[in-house]
Amino acid sequence: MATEIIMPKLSDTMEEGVLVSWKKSTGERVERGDIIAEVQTDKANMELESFASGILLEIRAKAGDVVAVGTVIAIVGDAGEKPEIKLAAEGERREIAVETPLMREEKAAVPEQDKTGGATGKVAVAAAGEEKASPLVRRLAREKGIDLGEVQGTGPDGRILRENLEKYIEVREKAPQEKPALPGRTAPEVSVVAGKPQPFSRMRAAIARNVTSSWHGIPHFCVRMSVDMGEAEALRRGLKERGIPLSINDLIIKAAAMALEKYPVLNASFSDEGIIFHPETNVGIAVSVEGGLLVPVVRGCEKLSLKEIAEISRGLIERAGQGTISEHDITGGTFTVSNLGMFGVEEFSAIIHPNQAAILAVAAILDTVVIRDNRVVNARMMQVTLSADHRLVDGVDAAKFLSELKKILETPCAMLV
Amino acid sequence: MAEMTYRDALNMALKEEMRRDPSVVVWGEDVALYEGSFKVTRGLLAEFGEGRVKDTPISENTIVGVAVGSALGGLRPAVELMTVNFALLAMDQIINHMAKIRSMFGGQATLPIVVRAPGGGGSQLGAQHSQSLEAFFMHCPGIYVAVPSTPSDAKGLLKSAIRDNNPVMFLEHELLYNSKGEVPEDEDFTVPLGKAHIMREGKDVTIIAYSRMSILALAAAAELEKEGISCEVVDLRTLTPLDTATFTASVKKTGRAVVVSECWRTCGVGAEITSLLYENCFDSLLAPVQRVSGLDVPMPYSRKIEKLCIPQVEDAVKAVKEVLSQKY
Repeated sequence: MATEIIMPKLSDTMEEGVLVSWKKSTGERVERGDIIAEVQTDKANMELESFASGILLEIRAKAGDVVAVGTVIAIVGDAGEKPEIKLAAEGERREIAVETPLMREEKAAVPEQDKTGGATGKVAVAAAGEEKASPLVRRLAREKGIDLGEVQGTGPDGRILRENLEKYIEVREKAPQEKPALPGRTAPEVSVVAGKPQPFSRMRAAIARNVTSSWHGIPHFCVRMSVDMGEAEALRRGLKERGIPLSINDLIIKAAAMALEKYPVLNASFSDEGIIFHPETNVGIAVSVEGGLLVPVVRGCEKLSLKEIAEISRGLIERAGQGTISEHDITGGTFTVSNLGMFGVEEFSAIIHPNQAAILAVAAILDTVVIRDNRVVNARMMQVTLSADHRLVDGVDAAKFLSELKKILETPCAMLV
Repeated sequence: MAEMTYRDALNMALKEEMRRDPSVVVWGEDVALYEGSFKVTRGLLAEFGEGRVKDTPISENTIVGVAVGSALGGLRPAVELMTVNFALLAMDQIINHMAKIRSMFGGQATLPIVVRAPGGGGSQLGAQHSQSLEAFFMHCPGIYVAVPSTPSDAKGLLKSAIRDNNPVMFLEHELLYNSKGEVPEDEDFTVPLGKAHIMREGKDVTIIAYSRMSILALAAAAELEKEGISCEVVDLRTLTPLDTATFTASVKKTGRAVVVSECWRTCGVGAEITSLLYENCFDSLLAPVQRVSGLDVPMPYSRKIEKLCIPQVEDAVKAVKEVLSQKY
């Protein structure tokens, strides 16, 4: 019987996707698991696998089309079969449920197939550690250091099959060599005509949506403070000499995580029902990429050592640059650090990420004349500006947080214990 | 090597061991003059005489009890119960005496006894004469349980059982007596107790079976091969001692297991094997272990319904496909 292939919902914010290209044409045989198309979401390019075997009977979306999630884009069935499925009216779409932020690397999520062979389009996602997988798959993941939460399962209820894991490993191992397109890059090409609007890349459109909603929805206020980074720089040099490379930004992430532990109200989300405190401190780092901005998340910072934070953030930044970042890597943040220090920026303020309480804008470390013990000295000063949600906190909370952050960064050995 | 039946292979083992060791004696119902209900003891009376081959009254408790006593006195009895169903009448001697004396007396006495008993269903013999009771004996510590599936194993295991100083319940399958196979005629040929046999190598799934179910597993494997499914078949040969190492190694290789036993499902041999797999191979399993077993019912007499209650080749095929399904 014929099976509808729909535009899957590949992330919690995805509402539509661009059909970049078809990998199969009408009349061609497809097997379950074959890549049939490439789809661009607001975050990344993904391959769409067929979840049915048969003949590709009909293609309903052209390359370049922007298609709403849930829209039928193709029909797979037996040769000569008339698609029994009622023709969806133009623009008609299915309700698609995505319970939690989905990961899903470059591989497209494959919608679950229901018993009748029709796609429900529902991509089941389990809470961390509760993914369905056989003991063998769990062992393999453990041995390879893979978080099963990042692997899309195609078995019943999203069960992760061995082949899913193997494919994930293959993709992961291949990723650094190959060059999957940078996010935002493979948008349908358009010729630049002055004075005419150019369509936004998916990423640009997503950024526009997010900052607009934050700016309109969150009453921002900013508090600024200067931090003497002399000691922190000395610590960084010392560790580097001992073979532990880390960036100033890693020190700031660690210090922010420690300060957030003391002031959890800044590691929280606003909701109409009340404040939601987050048990984990997941610090997002704003990373500039071609065509926009990605905010990969260092998860569980409260439990991570400086060294671990450095390793994780290095990997995240690398993947962001290569365009191999996964959905999982860029979701779940509870606080954000935006650092423009490398551009010599003296100070700036940032817009709070949706569902977060605050964002820390970090400027450059600059030689500054200061007076200390009645003497004029040269200090390595850095401006930090905290934008905070006034619904959740007041100026004094932001000030206390920044004082704590300053104290930690100025006596950085505190971060080593 | 010679081609012979399972029945003749057992007969050969008895004769060879009686010739080899004068302390080996045989008794049971109709084993001497009538040469056994299934003709396994054919020719024994003629060759070894009334002193070593005896017909007994219809009293299973006596058959085993006398074996226990004479084993303590230095003989090596290899007695026959007409069918395993009648072993239930001898359970006190089997469980309370035969299984326990060696350890209760701190090893001062040995009990080199073999109790041969045919069993299994499939011949329309009704609820009381179609049973597979191996789990009862496997459950009890102190006795070995042999369950040969081929003529060669029947001979080799029986010879090992007779030579062993531990009591052995030697469970033959009534439907295998006429099955044929190559059997070594060598008098020194034995098959060790406690060593499973990989009857067929494969990579996709391990089928663990014993007795007639191993033959059925081979048939299922042949059928599945036509569909490109590669099954490894492990024949346990003995349930006690159980060669856990061999079947767990196989399942660690394939990642999937189907256990086929003719006995009842609940607390059956399959349940024990399955538990061992979960304990030993948890990290290697791709799918839950499947059990194929006899149904939990007193065996019906009707041929068609009886067939539904005993595992068939297609049941094993179905179970293999289940563990290989896209679900896991």
